[in-house]
Amino acid sequence: MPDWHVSVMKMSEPRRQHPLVILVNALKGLRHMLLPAAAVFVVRGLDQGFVWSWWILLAVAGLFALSVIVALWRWFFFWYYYQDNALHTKSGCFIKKHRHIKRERVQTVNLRAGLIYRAFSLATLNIETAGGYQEPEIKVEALTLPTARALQAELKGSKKENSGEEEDVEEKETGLYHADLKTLFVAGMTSGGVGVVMSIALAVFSQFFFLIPDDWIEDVVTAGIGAALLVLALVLFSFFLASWIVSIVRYIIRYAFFTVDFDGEELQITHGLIIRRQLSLKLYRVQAVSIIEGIIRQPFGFATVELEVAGGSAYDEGTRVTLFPLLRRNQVDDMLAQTLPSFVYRGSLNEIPPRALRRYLFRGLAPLLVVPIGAYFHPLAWLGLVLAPPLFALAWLRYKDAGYALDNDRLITRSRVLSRTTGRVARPQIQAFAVNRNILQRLRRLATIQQTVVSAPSKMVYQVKDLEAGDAVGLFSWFSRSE
Amino acid sequence: MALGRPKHRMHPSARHAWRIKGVLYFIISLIVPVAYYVFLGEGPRFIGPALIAATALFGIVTIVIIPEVRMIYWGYEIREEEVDIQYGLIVIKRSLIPMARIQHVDTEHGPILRLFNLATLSVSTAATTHKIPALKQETAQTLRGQIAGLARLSDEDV
Repeated sequence: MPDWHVSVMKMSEPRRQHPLVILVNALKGLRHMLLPAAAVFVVRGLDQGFVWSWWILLAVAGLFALSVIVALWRWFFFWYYYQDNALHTKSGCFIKKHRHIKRERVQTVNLRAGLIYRAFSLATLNIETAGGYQEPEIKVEALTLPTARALQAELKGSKKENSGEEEDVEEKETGLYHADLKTLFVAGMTSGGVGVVMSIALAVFSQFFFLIPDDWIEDVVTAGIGAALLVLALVLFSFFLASWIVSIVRYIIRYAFFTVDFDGEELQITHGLIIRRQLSLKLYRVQAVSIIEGIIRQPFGFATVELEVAGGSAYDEGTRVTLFPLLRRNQVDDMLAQTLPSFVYRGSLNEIPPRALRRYLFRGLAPLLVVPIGAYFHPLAWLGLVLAPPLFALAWLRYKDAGYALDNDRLITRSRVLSRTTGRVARPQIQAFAVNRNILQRLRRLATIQQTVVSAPSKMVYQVKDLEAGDAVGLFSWFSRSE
Repeated sequence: MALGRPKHRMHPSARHAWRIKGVLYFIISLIVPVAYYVFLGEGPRFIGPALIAATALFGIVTIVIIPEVRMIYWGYEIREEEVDIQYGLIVIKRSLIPMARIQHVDTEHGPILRLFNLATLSVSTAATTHKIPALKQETAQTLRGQIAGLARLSDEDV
């Protein structure tokens, strides 16, 4: 690492990417061609019986050869070099493309490495620029790790300082947060991703339902209702358990080796088992901090911290970045104090008035209104009433959790849909502030507040319902720059 | 309630534009009872009159009530440092958009608005878009210039 300067110097000669890129891109190309073909094959096969033929193998081989040729072609005509403080790439044979990104224009430099690249210590460099439209992103694949690191260090070097000083930046970097396997496991268990997995699995299963032999179903049905219910319960339970395990594995693969480094002005977030993602983030892009306490995590005192981040330039889309996937709730402020001290808030929140409770309960229990309608068609619909206690509890929690606080120029809001979300936003980052009232709220002198910040996709709205109207007006005039 | 209304109201002829729109919606809604009598005409006897009553009520709401509510509640004010808008029908929304956050301002006018020489002004930030509907076209043009100018002045950071 220390002699990175030398290696950047050497890069003024045009070079090709590592030849391994041919294999990787050929496989990618093959996958793109093969997936639709395989889907057609399977669907047809299920319908009309599978017909095996050597032709299939030959076709796959042909497609692969084609992908290899395309990938080889691309590799052969792709050159990159670093000259005059800019990274240049040249590509194409008939239509030649020459792109370059000046160092000053670079907004973010990310390194990514898939399984194959990692095995050979290679990485892909992604460079995004400020200024959205005019300049494209540049991607250079399969660089050797030292080269990639050197380029990254060179390109993201602070614009004011000149070369030579970046080394101290490297040394200042401290491991701020590291998620160990136990943390990941707990986070995976409580992530709520099981719902997503179950819905995907259901969609897939419903396509293959006919594969279950008819006599199995007959056996179950003829064995009587008790046995049928038992089988149903067992199937549902194992389905849930399997989905849960899959969701945990998915989570761990995605967030494995989650590490946050901080060098004083830039956050480095790295994670991923198969695809290693690395993200560097300048602090001034952070628009707001969201502290999310999932409904399963909250009882155990855990929270997730996410950052709402604006794009590189004013016209870029925002993103949402997980800063700490799992943290004890009482450690959140200590961790934030080390990175984003302006977002620390240890005080309490103002509650909403008790007369708002009625509205919260009504909103929470309103879904039950469909029960009598359903019961009109079938008496079994009365079973829907078992949802009343949990809905009531949720409505009560939403009421208890709603709150806000003003802390100098920051507005902190907390509310719950399922998870309890606390948003901390500084006034300059609020894109718009709104006070909303419907007729009933007017009568009861209550109001809903909304603060909007840039995030992904496009925005994040922090909303607290049914504040004391006077408090809402107070916040409105706090936000107003006139009056 | 201490939160007053923004200084300026919509242009008076906006009421007429909204009423014409209401009439159009009403004409479209007439399809329901007409279709019922022409094609179906079966079932319990009360359905036909109920549909007519519902359509009539819908007509009154869109042609008479909605334009009136809008005239009463809607308003806007362009101040040096922010745009203040109030709009909405069932939920009345009051929004403040700081000049420094405004990225662009557009005016647009559909056929009905054009008939009355009106235009809609929309103000966009990086995250949100807000509309001031039914301004006089000249007002809209002036405001657009004014907001664009003010927004540029206070353009400090993202």
